[in-house]
Amino acid sequence: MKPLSSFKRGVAEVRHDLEHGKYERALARVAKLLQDWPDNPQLLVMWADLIQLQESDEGPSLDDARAALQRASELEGPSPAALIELGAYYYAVDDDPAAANKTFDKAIRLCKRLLIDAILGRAKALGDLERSQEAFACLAQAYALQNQNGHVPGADTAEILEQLKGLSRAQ
Amino acid sequence: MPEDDDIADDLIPGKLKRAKSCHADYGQKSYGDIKRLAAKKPPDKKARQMKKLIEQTARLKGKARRPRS
Repeated sequence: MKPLSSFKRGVAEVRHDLEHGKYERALARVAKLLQDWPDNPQLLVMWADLIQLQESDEGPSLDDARAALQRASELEGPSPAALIELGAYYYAVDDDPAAANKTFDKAIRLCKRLLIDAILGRAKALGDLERSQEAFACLAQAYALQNQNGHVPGADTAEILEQLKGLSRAQ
Repeated sequence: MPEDDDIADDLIPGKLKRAKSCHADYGQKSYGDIKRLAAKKPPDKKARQMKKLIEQTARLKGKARRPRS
């Protein structure tokens, strides 16, 4: 397995180039990283973003960028980052608001699920730290999110209420 | 974000100029003019598409400058 340090260093170099507007060099760096880390969703998103920022007509095309975003969103599983980029591409480059709406909707659901999971996790940790008021606040926030705009598949209100009961018992 | 005086051709990278939604005949218009045309009722479709490309470019460039936690 390749050392993670080489990946982190490579991504940091790409970010440095991005911050300084060196989009051509950044694209070349990402292409090289993808040889060592093929199908890495973070790199695929970076690659697609950078294609769109190229001044030259040479190299990978906009179709390649769209395909990379589609692939990243398939590979990324429950993480919404690639979906958000794909939605932005459909909206702005393809001028396809229907596809963008569908993609952003999926991303929102994933974000919401992840946010609820993070808040519930934090509530548990705060409970262990005996910071009950903050834990209750987290549970209230998770409950409100859960019940906002309908049901989120997979997110269970009962789980939140169970945690609330547990926290009350511990009081 | 781009300024209203900025010219579309200077704001859209070469690669995005290959997009079907990029219109060379609007390339010399300013971002401000494009926004005004896009907001018209009914909206000017070419201006609306150019506006999206300008804002997508700004968004992608802004992502790089966003602080990371």
